[in-house]
Amino acid sequence: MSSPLLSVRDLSVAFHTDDGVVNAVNDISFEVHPGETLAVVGESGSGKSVSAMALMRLLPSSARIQGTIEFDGRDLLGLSPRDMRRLQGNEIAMIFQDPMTALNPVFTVGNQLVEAIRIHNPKVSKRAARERAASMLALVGIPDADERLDNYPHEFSGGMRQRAMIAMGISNEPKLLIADEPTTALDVTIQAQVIEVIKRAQEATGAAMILITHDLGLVAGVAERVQVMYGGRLFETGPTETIYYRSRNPYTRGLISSIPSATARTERRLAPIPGAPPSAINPPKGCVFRPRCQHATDECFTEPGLRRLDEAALHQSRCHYAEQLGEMDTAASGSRT
Amino acid sequence: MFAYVVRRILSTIPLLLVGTFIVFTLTAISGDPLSRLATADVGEEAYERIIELYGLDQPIPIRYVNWMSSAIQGDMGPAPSQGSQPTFNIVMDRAGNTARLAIPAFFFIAITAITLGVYSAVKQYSKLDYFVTGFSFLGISLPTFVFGLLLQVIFGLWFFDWFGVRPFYVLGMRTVASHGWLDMVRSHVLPIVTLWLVITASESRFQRAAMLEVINSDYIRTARAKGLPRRKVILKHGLRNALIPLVTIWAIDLGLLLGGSVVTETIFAWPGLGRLLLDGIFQQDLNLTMGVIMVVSLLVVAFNLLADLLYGVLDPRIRYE
Ligand SMILES: Nc1ncnc2c1ncn2[C@@H]1O[C@H](COP(=O)(O)OP(=O)(O)OP(=O)(O)O)[C@@H](O)[C@H]1O
Ligand SMILES: [Mg+2]
Repeated sequence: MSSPLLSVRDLSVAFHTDDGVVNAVNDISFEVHPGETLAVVGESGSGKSVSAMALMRLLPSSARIQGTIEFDGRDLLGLSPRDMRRLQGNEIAMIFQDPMTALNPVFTVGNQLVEAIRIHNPKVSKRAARERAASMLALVGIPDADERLDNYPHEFSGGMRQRAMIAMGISNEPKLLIADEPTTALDVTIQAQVIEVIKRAQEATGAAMILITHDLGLVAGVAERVQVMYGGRLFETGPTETIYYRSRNPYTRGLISSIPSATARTERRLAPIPGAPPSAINPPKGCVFRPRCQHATDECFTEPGLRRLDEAALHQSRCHYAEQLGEMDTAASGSRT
Repeated sequence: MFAYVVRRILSTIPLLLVGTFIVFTLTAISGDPLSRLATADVGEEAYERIIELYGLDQPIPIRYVNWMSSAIQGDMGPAPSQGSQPTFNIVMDRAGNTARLAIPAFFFIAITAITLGVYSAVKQYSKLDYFVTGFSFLGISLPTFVFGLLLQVIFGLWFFDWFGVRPFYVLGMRTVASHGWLDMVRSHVLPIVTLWLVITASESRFQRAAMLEVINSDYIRTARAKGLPRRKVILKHGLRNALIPLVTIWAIDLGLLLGGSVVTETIFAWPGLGRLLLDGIFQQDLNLTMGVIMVVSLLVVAFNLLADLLYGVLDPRIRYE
């Protein structure tokens, strides 16, 4: 296998707040290889955004970050702010969840795109940058791109704004694109289109991608690998196929059976996981998923480690019973094809 | 846009009419303008003449209509308390004196309020932020005259005791024509500084609040994620947005400043509109009081309109039709 583009080792992020220490991310390690797509899936509060923001070095100064992040041979956490800025929006770009507020309302879309291009390519003329911005907008499927550059964000629909954000993200041909729930805030009818656009943009630039979502259903056909997070911890990681059909983690299985499916028998009820995600300040003792887990035993009062489930350690799961869990419920696994 | 401006101007007319009528009525019924004549031996005839001249025997609405119809033609009648000079000329003259304080003060206020507000928002909870916050609360809670008197004591008394010089004048206005450049400046400094300190205190709070809100917004995060330098993130993407809500406050403040500060002008014996208004009220000079009120109201209304228009210029989401 090629050497990784991004290599995260034992990353932990804690916030010191008035209510106590919030352990948002705990000891996560993962790699992203050039050109591949890794999906990060988990419920709200599982630490997906915080870990992405740690990669971008966009966390507030109240965040305590530990571990190492190596990107393209550089230690990101050790870079000076100035060197980090050279990477931001250039080699690593990010697309955010809410396109309605992610663009500055007082500047035109074109102004903001041109700015993103020229900050990393000061030699490019305004004219050339504008042309590139227009071709980026065209690439993400905005008609009359050249005229649309002079529009303000409020003159764009939500889907168009997210397309503009994608155009901005790829405008400097990043090596890594981080998309943090890029479709969550959008109308269901355009979510698939926007995912399509992201894929197209990624192919056009050859970027690797971290696609963050809480919707496991969105991941099929987009990501090569899936990483499931819960309570700031990595719960399971593996190739997409494996996660869908041979998950070895009760939490992942819960997520899968809560995917609404058009092909599933209509009477099968959606099965959301009962209970609420753990508190990041006072997590439950032992396995953080224990209080919601139907397989929990006394052994689960000790925290399980990540267990390797194959030779290459491609598939790993954080569960004492990873090997013993039975085959997946066919109703759940059969629903995605 | 043009239609909007016309509509706005037209809509302020009833407002001005109602406002001035209320002030006119209150001033007219608040005392007998002839009471001071009673102590002097002027005789029955002179009394009658004055009543006739000023129309004091008419009902108040009629007096108001008479006053207003000549006022809109620039004739605000004579001001008895000022040797019966034309009110209009006196008011314009004093408005100029007030502007001598208001315009430089506004300039300083705008610059310092933006700087302090932005700094303390960007460095929230830093020593500087606490210092600015402390200063603001002091400025907001202490009455204006405390600052004015303090400056007078420091520069008028103590400074002379320590160094044997008085760097600034503490009373009265001096102009280039009457005293030359240096004295002009020396007489303007303390009243300007007083206005500056007092208004900056509250304005920097507004600026801080507006900036804090902006800094925590998503588009600032986007700007940082682009790799923009911090300065550009704050000044281009942040300040540009944080100024929008402040423009309204500024315009109103400038209108009020140009209308004259009663307290500051009184403390520094400054011949401006604020003191003129006070004179008019104390001397029961209806024409004078009304003249000042009219000018001040017009200023406030005009600057409010200006604020609305600027709002539209700064915020592309707002369109006037
Ligand atoms: N600036 C902060 N200060 C304190 N706690 C924070 C801060 N940012 C995030 N957190 C906490 O970190 C935890 C993880 O948050 P994160 O935003 O990463 O969740 P997420 O997985 O992205 O969820 P969502 O699906 O809602 O976006 C949460 O408990 C959150 O409250
Ligand atoms: Mg999130």
